[in-house]
Amino acid sequence: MRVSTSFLQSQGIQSILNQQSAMSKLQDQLSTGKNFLLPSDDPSAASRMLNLDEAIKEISQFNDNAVFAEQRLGLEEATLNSVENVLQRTRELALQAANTATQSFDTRRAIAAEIRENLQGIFDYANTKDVNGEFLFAGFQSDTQPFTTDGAGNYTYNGDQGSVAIQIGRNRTVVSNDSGADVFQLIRDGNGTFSVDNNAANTGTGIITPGSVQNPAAYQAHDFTIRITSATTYEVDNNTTAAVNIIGSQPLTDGGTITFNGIETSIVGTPQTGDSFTVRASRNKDVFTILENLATTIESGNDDPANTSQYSQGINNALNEIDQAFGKMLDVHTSIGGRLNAIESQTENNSAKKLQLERILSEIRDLDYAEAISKMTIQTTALQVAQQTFVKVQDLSLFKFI
Amino acid sequence: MPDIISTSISGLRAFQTALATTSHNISNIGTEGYSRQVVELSARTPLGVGDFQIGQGVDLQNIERVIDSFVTGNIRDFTSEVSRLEIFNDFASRVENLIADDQGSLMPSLDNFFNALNDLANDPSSNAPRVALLSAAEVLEQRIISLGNEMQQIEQEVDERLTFEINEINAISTELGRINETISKLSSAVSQPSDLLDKREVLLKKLAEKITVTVVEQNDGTLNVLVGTGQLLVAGPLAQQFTLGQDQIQPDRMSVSLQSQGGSVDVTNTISGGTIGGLLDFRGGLLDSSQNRLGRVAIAIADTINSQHQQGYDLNGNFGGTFFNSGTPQVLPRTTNAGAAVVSAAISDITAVTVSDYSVTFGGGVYTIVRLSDNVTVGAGAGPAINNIDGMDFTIGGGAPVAGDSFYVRPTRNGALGFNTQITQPNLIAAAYPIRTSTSFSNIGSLDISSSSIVDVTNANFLDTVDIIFDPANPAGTFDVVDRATTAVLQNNVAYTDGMTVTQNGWTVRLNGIPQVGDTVTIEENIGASLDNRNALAMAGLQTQAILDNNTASYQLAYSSLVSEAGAINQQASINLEVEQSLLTNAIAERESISGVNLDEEAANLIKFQQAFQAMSRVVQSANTIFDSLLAAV
Repeated sequence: MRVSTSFLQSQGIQSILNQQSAMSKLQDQLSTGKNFLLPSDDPSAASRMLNLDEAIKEISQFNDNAVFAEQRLGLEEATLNSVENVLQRTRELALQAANTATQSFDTRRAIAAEIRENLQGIFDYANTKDVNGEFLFAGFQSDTQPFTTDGAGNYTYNGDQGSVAIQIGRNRTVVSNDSGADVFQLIRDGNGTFSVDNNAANTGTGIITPGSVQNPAAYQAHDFTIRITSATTYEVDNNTTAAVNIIGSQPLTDGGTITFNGIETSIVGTPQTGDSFTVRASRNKDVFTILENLATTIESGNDDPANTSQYSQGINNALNEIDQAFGKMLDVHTSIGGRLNAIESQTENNSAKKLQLERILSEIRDLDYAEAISKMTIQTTALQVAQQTFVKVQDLSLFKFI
Repeated sequence: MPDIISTSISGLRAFQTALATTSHNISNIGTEGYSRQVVELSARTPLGVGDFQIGQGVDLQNIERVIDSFVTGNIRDFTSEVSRLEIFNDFASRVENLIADDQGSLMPSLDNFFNALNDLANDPSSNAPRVALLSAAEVLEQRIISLGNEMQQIEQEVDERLTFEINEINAISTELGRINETISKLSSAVSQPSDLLDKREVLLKKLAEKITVTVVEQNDGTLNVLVGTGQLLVAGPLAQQFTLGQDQIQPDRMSVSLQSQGGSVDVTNTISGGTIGGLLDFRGGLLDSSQNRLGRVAIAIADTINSQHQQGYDLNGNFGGTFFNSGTPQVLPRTTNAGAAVVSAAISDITAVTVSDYSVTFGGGVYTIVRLSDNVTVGAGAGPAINNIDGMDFTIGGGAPVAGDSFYVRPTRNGALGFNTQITQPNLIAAAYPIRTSTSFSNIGSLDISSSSIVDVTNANFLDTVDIIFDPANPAGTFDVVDRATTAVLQNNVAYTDGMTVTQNGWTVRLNGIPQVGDTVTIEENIGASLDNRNALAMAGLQTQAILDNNTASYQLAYSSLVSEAGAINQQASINLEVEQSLLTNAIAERESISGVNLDEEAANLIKFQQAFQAMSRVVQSANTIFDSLLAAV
């Protein structure tokens, strides 16, 4: 085939230009470390890279969130630890006070004073602020002091029952707080199902024991009165339904089992005819009121025998309620532990997934240096060959011989 | 008797011409479009002397231009295609660079915004994450607007380039007309002005770079040049002019018209190829589609964030306001509309909005709405409202329409340009829900509200405090729903089951637990809830929620499909470009092998003709010697 001189030349130049453009692309790849420089190099990879990048950033954010939730729950956990310690100490004090034989007016005063100190301590813990100055136990109302008192033993919760969820996985949230109502306020009194008490006007020494539910199917959350009708008999009224004498005259013995409404309790000591005891479905009581009542009871203690039953009943009930409060703290504490575990496992999960995604992203995006460098070497040789060929071919001309 | 001298002179003249042609070839080796010329010689008619025919020398037959018009036609066609793809590629790469840039694309700022929302959800009562969210929103706004601006900028450049190319075409076609005229004067039956033909060929190739042309040769040596579906651009000496004018269908756009004696013809949709074709393809294809896609993402972000934000409560205890504004659908009336009807469109459901443009045409008493991406009629109606058409509501107002009136609708084109942040105060960010629930302290049973959700915040009684009470006066196991302020019983004696839901005043709550008589749960306005992050969480959740394309694509997915679409289109164009380029190279190689000058060949010719000339001179010398010897003999 005939070849024109200028075409031969332009072909030679074109081939050098092509090699240079391939070199320049390789150079770009090598200097950026990326496989692709533009989406059109591989459109589906480009969109996959965007999606992967997005997923990785999302996971990072989830882990950031998790750290935040962990911090808040950690603070709550530490606070609850302190509250539990105080409650434990208070319980010991109550037990000391319960031992009437060893107590005098002064020792009771001292115990009551320490209990009030403890009460103040728990009150302060309940009003804990986090590092940002936000109240920890106010639900959503983090700018409002959750618990206030009128100084007369009445405590008010000013927060709400809001729980703050933190996103730690695409479909996973964890609650990062517990409202003051849940921790300090909604404590079931008595044994958690029902509470017992003696009538303040009782003249005997009878004390009613906390009792328990024996037959849950038969249990109704009603209020009852056990009336002592003689030294050996009692009757029970249902105050809720206003049904008098739901069980007729029953034999009364010291410590003997009293059974009705699916529950079992007993009266210890010697009640007088006309004395009465109440059995009520459990109400909510806040921990402050429990301690306040305990302190008041201990302060009211004296050596008058008529007072003994009130005193003992009061301390017994308070001990029960402290146990309930303690149980409540433990429940919340356990739940926090569970949540912290969940955060940890989710974070691990997230990190593993992130690593996996990063590996895939790297496989798509990052340059295989070994391959690119060997391509570069080939390309360099090809360019040199093209240049030398051009010079050689251009050198050939018949005119040189004329 | 033949004359040696005259024979020699004929040869001398012929070889002189051959040498001149060879040197003409060599001197034009650098001339664009030059076709080599060869001298055709033929022996003179011999002189009959007696029984013999004696040769009389050589005649110059012709100086022929060596060409193959089929190959030059191919070169023109491939050139048109190559330059169409080249300019398409140029502009498409710019769109690609814009939307896929690591830092400049939408993704980093969108991620940033949602990260800020997450940070707000973590710590809604602090001022810092609120301020950070506002600045992230600003960055997102700037990013979206600058992407929109850049695309508009590219569109302006396309228009500028169109103007430039049209002027070039007009200059070339005028020049072609002039050359045609000269050629028709210079051409004869035997010879044509070769160098002028080459020059015309070069001009035609330049024209083909701008637009696909069909060339028809005329008997007088002139050419007719046709564009589009057979519109005459150049007819002999006569050249028509292209003009740019207002497009009838999209009046804010330039259209290309061809001026002729018969008037102006809009050829925007019929011309193809070349830079003009590439520019029009890019403008009506990738650019429109990218703007629509980007706009749709912007509108979706604004729309969904707004509707969630407006359900929430800010730190002042007010409902959240509009967080972002975004551009609204454009409706352009056709310039030829005779009626006075005015059509407007609004987006009613972003999940159903497509990236296509639409046309609304009046005829037969109804407006017909056609989706232009697939030419499907998606709706029709007499107005004044035609609702829920691909996520849009159309409103028809103004005066009476005339049959044939038409409107061009761009639902999302301006979405990005109109994007801006409306919230400026950190405390106006609505991170909380407007209502909260609580169980009463005095409850005996375990009644609880396990979850609550918002159905309709516009309900007039939405914020009223409502108690769900197991009233002792009720039949056992039933509750009342009571407005606390008015004590109005909203729902009476509702039978309770564990896990049931109660809906009232625009909210729904789920009840759990075993209630006792007198137990109460309360739903009330959420005042002072600075730590409530429920709305912030809900907004953050929008990041991965499938919203667009009928709830199948998140914002990010919609954006990445914009990137992959642009990439795929450009990749296809690049592949086609390579193919067309190699076809063009082959065609040029073919032309060069036929018409190109080869220096070695010319050198050989030079030697050949030089030797012939020298030999011829010797013959003259011989003739002279013969003559001298004759003279001496006398």
